[in-house]
Amino acid sequence: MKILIIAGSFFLLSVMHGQEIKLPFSTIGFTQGFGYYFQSDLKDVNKEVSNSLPFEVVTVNNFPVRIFWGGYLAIPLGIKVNVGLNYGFHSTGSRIGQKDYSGSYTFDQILTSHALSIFGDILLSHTEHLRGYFHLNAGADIASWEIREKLNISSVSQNDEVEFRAVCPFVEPALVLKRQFNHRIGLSLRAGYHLSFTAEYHHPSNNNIKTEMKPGWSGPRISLNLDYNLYNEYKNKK
Amino acid sequence: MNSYIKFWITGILPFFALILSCEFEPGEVPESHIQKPSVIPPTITLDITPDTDTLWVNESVIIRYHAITIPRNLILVAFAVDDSVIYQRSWDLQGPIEMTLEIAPYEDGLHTLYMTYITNSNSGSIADKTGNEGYMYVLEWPLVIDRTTEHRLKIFPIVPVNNGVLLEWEGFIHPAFNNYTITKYSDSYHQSKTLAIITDPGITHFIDSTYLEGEKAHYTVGLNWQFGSQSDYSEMPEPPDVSQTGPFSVKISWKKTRNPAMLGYYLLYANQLYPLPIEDIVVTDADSTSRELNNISFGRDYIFSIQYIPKAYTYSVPTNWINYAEKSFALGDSMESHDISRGIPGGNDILLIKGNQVNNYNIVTGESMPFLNVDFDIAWAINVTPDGNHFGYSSHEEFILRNITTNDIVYTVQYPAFSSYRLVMYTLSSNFRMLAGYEDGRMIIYDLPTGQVEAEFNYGSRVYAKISPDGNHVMMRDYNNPTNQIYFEVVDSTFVEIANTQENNALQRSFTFSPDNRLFLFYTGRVEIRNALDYSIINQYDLPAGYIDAWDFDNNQILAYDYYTNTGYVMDINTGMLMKTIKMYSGEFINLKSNFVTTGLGRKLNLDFISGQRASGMHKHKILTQPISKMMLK
Repeated sequence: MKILIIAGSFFLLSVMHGQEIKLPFSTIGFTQGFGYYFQSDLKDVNKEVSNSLPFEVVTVNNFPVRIFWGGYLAIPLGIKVNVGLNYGFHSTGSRIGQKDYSGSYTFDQILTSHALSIFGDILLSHTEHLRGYFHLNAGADIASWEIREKLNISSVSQNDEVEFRAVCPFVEPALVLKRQFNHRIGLSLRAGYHLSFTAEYHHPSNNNIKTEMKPGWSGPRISLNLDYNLYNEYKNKK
Repeated sequence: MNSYIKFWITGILPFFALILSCEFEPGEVPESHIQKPSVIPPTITLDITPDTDTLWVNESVIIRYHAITIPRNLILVAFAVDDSVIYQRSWDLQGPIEMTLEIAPYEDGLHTLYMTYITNSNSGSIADKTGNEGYMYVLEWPLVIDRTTEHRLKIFPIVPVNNGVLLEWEGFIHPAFNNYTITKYSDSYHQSKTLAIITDPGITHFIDSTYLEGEKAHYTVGLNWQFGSQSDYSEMPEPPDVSQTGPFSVKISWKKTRNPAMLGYYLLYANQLYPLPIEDIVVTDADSTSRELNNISFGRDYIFSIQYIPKAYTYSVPTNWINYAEKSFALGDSMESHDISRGIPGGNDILLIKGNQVNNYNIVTGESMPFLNVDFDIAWAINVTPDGNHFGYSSHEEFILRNITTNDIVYTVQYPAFSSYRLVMYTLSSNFRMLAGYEDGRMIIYDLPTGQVEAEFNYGSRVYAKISPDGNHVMMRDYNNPTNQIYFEVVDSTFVEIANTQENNALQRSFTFSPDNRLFLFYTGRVEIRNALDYSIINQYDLPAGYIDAWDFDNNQILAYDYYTNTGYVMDINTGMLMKTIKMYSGEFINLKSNFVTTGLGRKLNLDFISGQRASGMHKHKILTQPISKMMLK
């Protein structure tokens, strides 16, 4: 399914590229990277749940390093500075559970975040094909924390689901090493640290229902970014 | 199309679609290797009260339960009456626990109380740990609700049958019927036993084949349980039959038990412990219904008892709670019972004195005539003159002499009343003299025709004395120290001492004068015969054993009795020759008359039926030197 979605997206992008469209920015970029999310509080939740259960459970997932996706739009301000808008989608989670002849039990925590931010790149140094930037990203994680508990015994199933949401500010400084292949396409490697500021999570339909825990999104990030220069300005400026 | 819209549709939305599809998805949980529990439920133990097969109630009842399910846990208990759950508990199930069963919602009749106990499986699975897997045990308990005030089954009279007893009762046709429970409490065993549980309401009788004659039984016919109507049944065995089979032997027969299978043994015993106890006789053969006993003593009332002792359940049966039947028996022929008797010399008559009543009894024919009824000053004290023509007694401080044939009063003498010393004895001579003895040792001879005192002597302490048939001699022994004996002759109204001896073996009142004026002195193991005129010795002989108990000068017989062996020896009174030996007991007054031994119990033993020799050489009224004065006194 994911493959079909990705293939469809690139197909549409190629179609779009064939059209004469004038956009208010010069560079569009796609990001894929790895993020690590500490989530120590939520790990404690798993432990508490595990201890409270009458049977033994195993930990299947415990907030592992995850691939994240994103994209950005950038406008050059001179030859050393780029500014733009950035979007990133992060998702991680955990599962503890048990399964035997009599049924199964799972306790899942699913975290997702739509990170919206503005960023700026400052050229630090360059060679003929490589450029080094200091990258600073600032914005907010629009986060969701979903808890799913499911117990199946024989043909009887019992499900409990609850979701909380929050908007968590963050800054993410990073260093970027970029290789420009031609006047349109460039590939960069970005390494940084996502510093998330905690915020209250609340029930989507009732803001008065809040959680005591405030899961953040802090953790190291490393990503590959593919730039596409829409107007060949890079070549002209070069 | 607007280029921006086209951009969003063709570029951005697919991009978002791409990244949203990358939401975190948890992995699959690996399956554990926990084994399924056995489909065969393990055993549990239930302790429930009331502990009855059927719960019979007429009002709300408290049920106490305790389920032992270790090592598994009891997780739920639920009770239901018919189809309705009335009670459920899943907490604190460590018993015992009480619940109250309210019967208000239910009609009278038979219901079912379902008691459901659920334990976990202990498999460790998710279902086990969450209480969704376990074992269920359902106990079905018949519940009888019966609000009628009482169901007492009428028990009809219990009747004996061939091999036990038959119980019958009124039937109970009712939805609440479950069974008739027949129980018996037996005094023979001091325990209860359930005899039968009859589940057919139409069967209203039961034969208790465990019943044995004499058993004291308490039967209960219970409706659905062991409590209910009660009936006592206690059967008396038939008394044994006792027949004499020899001079001193009897045969005792009894009825064979009608339930031989339950007989442990027949127990035959006599209530007599003395003189010689008859040991209990145990007869284990049900077909053996008689026993012969030897060495039965004359002079004793025997009561022979028979008991039917059942087989023991687990230990020996105590016999004292079992009915017995008895039959009394005494050797010899029947005659009137009496306190004392006085033989009348010269015939077969004997006076029988019982209380104030005196009868004249012919010991040979058995004829008896009421003779006298009088208030005696000295109980039973009647004396017959040695010649057998008169008898005398004292009443209301008068001494009265009567003709023994006509019963007419011949003389009446008001004897002196010493305020300090009462009259204690008197004897008669054949010439109307009376020797009266007083408590202080005073002896006075009265002449009955004149009422005058002929002679008087005071020994100083109480004496036992007799006057000779001729009225001229007196034999005396110290009452308290009978070894001192004095023989007097009355000369000129004076007691002249002829002999004063010490005899170690002298017995207190054991001496007498024969009608022919001989003095017979009885000692332990010996008899002396002396001439009453001069106290010279005529003869003496030894006794086989014991002491002299009775004599009969008409038949020249004397009876010695050995206390230790309960043996009587009938001997020739003159020679001491042993003629008869009899088994006897001298507990009551014994006398000899006309070849009969009599006892105050009311029996007489004809010595003709006892093997031995009759006395030879009759000394009938032999006169020595004085006119004959027949006398027979004890």
